[in-house]
Amino acid sequence: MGREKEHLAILDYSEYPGPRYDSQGPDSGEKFYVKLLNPSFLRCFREDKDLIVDLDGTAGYASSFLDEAFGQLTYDFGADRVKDRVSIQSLDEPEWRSMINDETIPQWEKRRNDHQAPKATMEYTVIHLNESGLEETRSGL
Amino acid sequence: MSFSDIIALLNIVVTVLIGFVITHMVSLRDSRMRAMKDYYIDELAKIRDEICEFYSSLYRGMCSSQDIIDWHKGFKNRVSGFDESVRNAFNLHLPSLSKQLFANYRQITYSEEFNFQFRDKFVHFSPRERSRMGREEKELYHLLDQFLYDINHSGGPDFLVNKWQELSHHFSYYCSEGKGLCSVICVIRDWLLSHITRILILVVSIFLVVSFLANAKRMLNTNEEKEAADVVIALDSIRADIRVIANSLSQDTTSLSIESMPVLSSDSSAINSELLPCEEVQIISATKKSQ
Repeated sequence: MGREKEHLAILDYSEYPGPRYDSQGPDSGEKFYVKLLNPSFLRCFREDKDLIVDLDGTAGYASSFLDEAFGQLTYDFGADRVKDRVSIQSLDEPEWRSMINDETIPQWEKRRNDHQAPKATMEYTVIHLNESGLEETRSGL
Repeated sequence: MSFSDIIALLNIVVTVLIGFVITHMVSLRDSRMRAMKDYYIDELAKIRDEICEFYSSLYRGMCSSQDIIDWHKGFKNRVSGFDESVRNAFNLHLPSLSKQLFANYRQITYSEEFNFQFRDKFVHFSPRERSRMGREEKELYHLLDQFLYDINHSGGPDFLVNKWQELSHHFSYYCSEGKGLCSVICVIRDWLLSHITRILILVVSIFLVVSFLANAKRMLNTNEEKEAADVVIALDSIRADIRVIANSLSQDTTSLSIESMPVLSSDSSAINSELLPCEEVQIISATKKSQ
């Protein structure tokens, strides 16, 4: 029997997802990660649930938005945990799913291993898992 | 009616049927295929124009970041619909047009210019970025040209494959209408109704050929019987004549012996030089009476 599932629709965050960083424009990928994706994933991780991220219904995405959001998730929790728990649903543009799984996650996993921290353009504190699997906080700015 | 007449008539029937098949099926299929090709080529030209206009506005810095996202969202659906449809129609094996378009879009929205000028009314790309976009635009046009060539040279799906697709579409339609198992019956009914003229022509043709062949066989038998009777009458007449000759000879001869036997002889006057039954008469022995 599979794990319980939690649903996260980006449409609930914004109908018009914006650029990569918060400093570049409204509803950025960075802000989406900090405000919604990180807490949702952390909750699912603690409660042993799967997270379904729904990309459908918005006006469209810039690749940088998704790269930043799912990239930071990979940086904070590791590719294996993300692949294990997150499933991306995109009926409108299934190409995004392949991009995130095949390119974004491997690239940011490399950054995680190289300790190349993500650029921050807003004040935030997120929780991430260190190499030993222990929860730690990471702050932006 | 002779056998050669039957062959000649059958020849006419077969010629008419072949003519019907060529004019009605082959020619009709070709004209339909041409119409389909023209439609897709026209659509391809429109897609090319739209891509050209989009890249032109990117180079001139005439659109905002949100305009680029909106354009891709709308245009991608149109291109992927075209991509799928044209592949089904002509059985093409080309790289996906929508995937190539998506790859280009990804690069554009990944760029620093796009993101840093997200709030601005217009995005201005650097010469380096414009050069990269130019190369990607060229690849798109190259792919569009390949589509154009392949569509124009495609023979379309085979007749049976085409029919199968048509029936599958009808079946899917009735299934979606909730007809369940009755979908098959509905598909057969539709097929019969849409081909009623052809079916009638086929049935009438088969009926005519079968009845014609049956009549021809009967007539052939009757002719043979009549010919045999004629031969018997002719032989009887010959034998009667022989008897008359023998009687007249018997007045002048003693111990007259005549032998009559049926033989086959060729008749040079007949067209086919057929072997005809004849009667050969031989006087075996005769002794003249002494005066």
